[in-house]
Amino acid sequence: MNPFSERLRGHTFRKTSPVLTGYFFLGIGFGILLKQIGYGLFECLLMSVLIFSGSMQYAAIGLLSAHVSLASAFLTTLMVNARYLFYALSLVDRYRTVDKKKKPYLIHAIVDEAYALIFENDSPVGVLNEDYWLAVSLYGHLYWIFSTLLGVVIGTLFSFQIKGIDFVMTALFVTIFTDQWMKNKDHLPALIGLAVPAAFLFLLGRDRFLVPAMLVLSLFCAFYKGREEK
Amino acid sequence: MSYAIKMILVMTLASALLRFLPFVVFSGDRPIPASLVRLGKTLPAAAMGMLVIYCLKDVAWSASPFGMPELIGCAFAVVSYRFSKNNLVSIFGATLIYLVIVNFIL
Repeated sequence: MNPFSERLRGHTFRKTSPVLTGYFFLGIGFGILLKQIGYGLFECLLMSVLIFSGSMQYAAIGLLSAHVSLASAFLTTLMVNARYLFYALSLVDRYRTVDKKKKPYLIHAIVDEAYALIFENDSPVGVLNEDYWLAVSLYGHLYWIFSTLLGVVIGTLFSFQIKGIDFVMTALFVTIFTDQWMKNKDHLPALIGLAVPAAFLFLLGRDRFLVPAMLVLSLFCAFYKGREEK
Repeated sequence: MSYAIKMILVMTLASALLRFLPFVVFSGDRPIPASLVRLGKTLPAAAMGMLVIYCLKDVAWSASPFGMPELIGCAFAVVSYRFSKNNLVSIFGATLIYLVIVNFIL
């Protein structure tokens, strides 16, 4: 039943333990929020298996409770997860020779944490690279599914309403924003990312600002050449 | 199909598109268009800025407490992340500070 050797399992568990810590708390937070807006284990399972994206699932809490249209949910997902396109582009070569049965799952499981580990590629001796990548992806995915479901259970058992708990979403995005800021030398895209939605929010109000802001930001980013080509 | 299920499927489709497209389109020797590369480089940072604004869209800036709890929480997240580089400390620390302010201080 278990496709991975004992050595690979131990090695993968050690390499992914920081991922486990992060997913554990973020997953529980997500589950509690999802429960608070009226959804349960089924929706949680679907989201964590199929979408498998922490930041998008957090954003989905806002979209679901605001009852946005399917079209704006589609656009928002393209924006929020745009970095997966970047990860995928950089993995095309690496995954070229991967077994066809394993490849679709490896591509589905492209997320920040697995990407970092796969890029580092510290696979144990005597193990196929692709099996290590598969193990890293699968472990991360299982941690995420488990933690988010646990969050829903916790939210069900203690049906507390903590005023302001959804601020965890804001804190998450501010932290990722700061991380991006520190990684990039050119801060203009980040600043435009704040300024354009803020301007549309002021002009159009909170129910209508998102889609035009996304369109303007995407156009800007597609044509912006940057101050320095790295 | 309920609204939530449709939403989940739409978000799944968009996520899968981003993940699979490069493998489907650029599996041969076809070069990656420059605009797509630029999008990949700059859109992630811009998208996070947009999400921050999205999260703050319901804050009443002109009425007491003038968005101060949100600003304090965000400031903690930024400063703590700059120094600790630990995302859990920043996310949950900022949330805790915010919860204390809105539940016990205001």
